[in-house]
Amino acid sequence: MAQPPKSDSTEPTGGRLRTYVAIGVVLAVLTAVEIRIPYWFAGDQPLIVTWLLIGAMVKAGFVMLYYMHLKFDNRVYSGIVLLALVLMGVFLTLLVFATMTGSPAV
Amino acid sequence: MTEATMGAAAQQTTGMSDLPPRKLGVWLFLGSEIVFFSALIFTYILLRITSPNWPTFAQTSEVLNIPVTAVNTFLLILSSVAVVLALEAAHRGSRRGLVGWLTATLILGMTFLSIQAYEYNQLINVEGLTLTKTPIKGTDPCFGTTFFTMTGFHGLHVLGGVLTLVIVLVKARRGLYPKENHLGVELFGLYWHFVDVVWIILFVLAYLM
Repeated sequence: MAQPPKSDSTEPTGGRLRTYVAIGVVLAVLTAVEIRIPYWFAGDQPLIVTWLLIGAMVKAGFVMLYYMHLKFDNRVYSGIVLLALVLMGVFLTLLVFATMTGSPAV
Repeated sequence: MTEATMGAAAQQTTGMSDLPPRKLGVWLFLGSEIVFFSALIFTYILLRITSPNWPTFAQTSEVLNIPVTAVNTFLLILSSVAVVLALEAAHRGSRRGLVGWLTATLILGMTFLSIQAYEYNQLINVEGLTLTKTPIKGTDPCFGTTFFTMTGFHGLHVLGGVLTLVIVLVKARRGLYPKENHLGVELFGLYWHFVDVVWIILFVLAYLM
């Protein structure tokens, strides 16, 4: 008979709730800051792109590590995410190479 | 062969006895979704950096309703918080809390879709931005193509999530997610959080850059 899935964390419920709500607040604040970045650094596209990408990665990281429990869960799940990202890295490299050299798609 | 023997044989073959098969399946599905959305995003990036006349933020901000979309982004983040609180309620064995937070998620998700539908209507019928043309003179029409392709596929994923949530909510109201086995809630949560992660990236790329 299949065993019921184990709890993801041994941290007390109240502590987890506070963490989740705190992360939600952080995500909202980061979003509010993100919206202003194109206006704060108007005309400096590299700076805008840099800060926006950093902000997006931080937010995505919080959601994946805490809300999706990757930080606490079996490493196999993180491995699946990393594998997908590596595959896309290979795809992007080939795409950029094909575009810049004018070569037909590999 | 008894069930115990079959279980032991499976553990020896896979070496991943701690992984619920359904959860592994959902993560593999999410891995394929990462590949899918990455392909869309990378294609957008490549089209943009190789285009000589891609519209600037100053130009696109005249067409795209950034304040409304920002509100939508907040709603989606709030819905992710609601989902994780629903899962916590399930952990505690609180059916009322589970149903309450899932209902909140459903309302937020449907609001997101409604706002996006309103936005699409404004863009297409008022601003003149479509899949094949842009109202910003002298700029690359691929802006509209990539905008609607990326946000459209994301919207479809949100719709799929909302439809799944209806099923999960009905089951939760019937008490089918007890404290001992609420994996279904967790699996839905994984999908919904992933949809949120995709929007976090798309919002920045399509609206703010």
